[in-house]
Amino acid sequence: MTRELSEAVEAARAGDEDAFRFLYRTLQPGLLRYLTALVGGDAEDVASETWLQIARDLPSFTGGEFRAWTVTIARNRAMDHLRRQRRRPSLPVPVQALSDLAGDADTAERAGETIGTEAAIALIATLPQREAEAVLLRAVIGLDAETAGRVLGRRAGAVRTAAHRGLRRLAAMLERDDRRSAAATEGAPPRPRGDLRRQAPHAEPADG
Amino acid sequence: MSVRRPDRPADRAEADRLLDAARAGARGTAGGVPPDPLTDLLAAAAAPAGAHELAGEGAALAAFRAARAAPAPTPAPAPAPRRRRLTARALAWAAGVLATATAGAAFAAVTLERPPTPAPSPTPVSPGPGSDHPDGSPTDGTPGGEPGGGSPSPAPTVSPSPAATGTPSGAPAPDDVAGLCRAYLAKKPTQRDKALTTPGFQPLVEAAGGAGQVEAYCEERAAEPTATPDDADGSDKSDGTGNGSGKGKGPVNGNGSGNGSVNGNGSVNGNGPVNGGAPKQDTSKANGNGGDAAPPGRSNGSGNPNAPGSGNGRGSGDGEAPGNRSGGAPGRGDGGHLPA
Repeated sequence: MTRELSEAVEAARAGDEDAFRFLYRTLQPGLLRYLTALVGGDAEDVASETWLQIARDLPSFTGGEFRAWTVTIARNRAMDHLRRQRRRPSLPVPVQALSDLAGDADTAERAGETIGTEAAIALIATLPQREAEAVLLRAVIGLDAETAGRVLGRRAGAVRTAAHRGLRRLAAMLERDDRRSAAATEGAPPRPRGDLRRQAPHAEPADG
Repeated sequence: MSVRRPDRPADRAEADRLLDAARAGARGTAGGVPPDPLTDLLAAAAAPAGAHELAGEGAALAAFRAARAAPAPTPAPAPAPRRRRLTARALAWAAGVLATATAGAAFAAVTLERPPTPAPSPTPVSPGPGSDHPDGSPTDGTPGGEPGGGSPSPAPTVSPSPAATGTPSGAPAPDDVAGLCRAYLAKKPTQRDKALTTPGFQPLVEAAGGAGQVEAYCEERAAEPTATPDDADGSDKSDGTGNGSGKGKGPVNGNGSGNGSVNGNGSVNGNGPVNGGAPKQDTSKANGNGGDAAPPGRSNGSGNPNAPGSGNGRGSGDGEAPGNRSGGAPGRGDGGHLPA
């Protein structure tokens, strides 16, 4: 896979359009999902800007991990976008929406069976940004912790910790959904957000 | 409390394993029932592309073709554009400093080579760089810009601008000729002819159309409002004080400022900031209100500029004018620090 990718990069740099198409099809889904977690509904636009820059700067790519190179471009474009919008990039989804999403019966059902890609990304996007980025770069883009650390400007250990925390948090959300559906079938009152709050100490209280 | 706990990553190694498995596409291996909701979630997040996700392929390929057709002159890698911007800014700054330094040094050289003339003091407000000439008995800060009295010195090191001269005609001298005129008129009649033979007054001679015409020419000019006191109520007594200070730091920057005030029937305040890079520039501003402290006057100046390399010039001048006019103007010049 990696060798295939680097061959395609070389061919695309030489001007091979098919090779560039291959790169697009290989990398675009991960970039788009990562960007969705960063900028939400504007991800498609930012992805377009990203590919514009990739096409333009491809000759200057000097080797190394091509995925990391592209995802760095995507991340910079996303940060520019957020700066333009004067919006803070962290926690794009409020916690209220988080509990709504996590409490959604459909989500729970899907989580129990086959969760859709969009729902999965939406759930990951509810994590604190550091954790969400770590999880996405590792699991979706496919970078190792060291490379993800270079993209994020952090140490590999910090990326591992953030990804680990993110996974624990996600597991807690899924567990909560699961328990809710289980409790619903038994007729017992579901535990409200207290459990979630304990599992997610960094999250803001849902309501005052 | 908990009826059933899904598997949670117990440590970071376990988390790494889950994350790597997601990328490898672990979903579906269990056949039907997913073994772990978290694994399933990650696998879903890393699922193969949906058709809608590749909608931008055409645009991306178009961008690729366009880039091939017209390659960017300087393709910029994405990381660290900020640093480059910073570097560019630093380079521009350094270039500006260098240009200023060169200009200052050039001007200093010109000033040093200028023959000793009775210094058309008010006009060419020369900042620090010039303060290096030996014993520059500075005419700085002399009220009335009186160069003749004490100091036929080379061009004034830091002449605190017309304002400091205490001339109520505080308007910035429009050109050399006006300043030369004032200098000329400030002279004693016996010295005037001699002065006109010096190169420094040549512009004035040329402007007047001949050495013989200078006096008439200058008097005519002096009648213009900018050169006359705003308030000439006949009082011939005025006290003028002027302060001039100039600072030239190296050949790079020169700052000069002058303050002058005339008491009597008016006061003149002037401030003249001077930038070393532009020797001719005279940005002095003065508000004149009465009080004819204009030349003739006499000034005594003393200066102790040090040799080139680092020069400090300090001058104080007292000007005394006929008709009980007196003006005192300490001037201070500090500059000419040439790069050692």
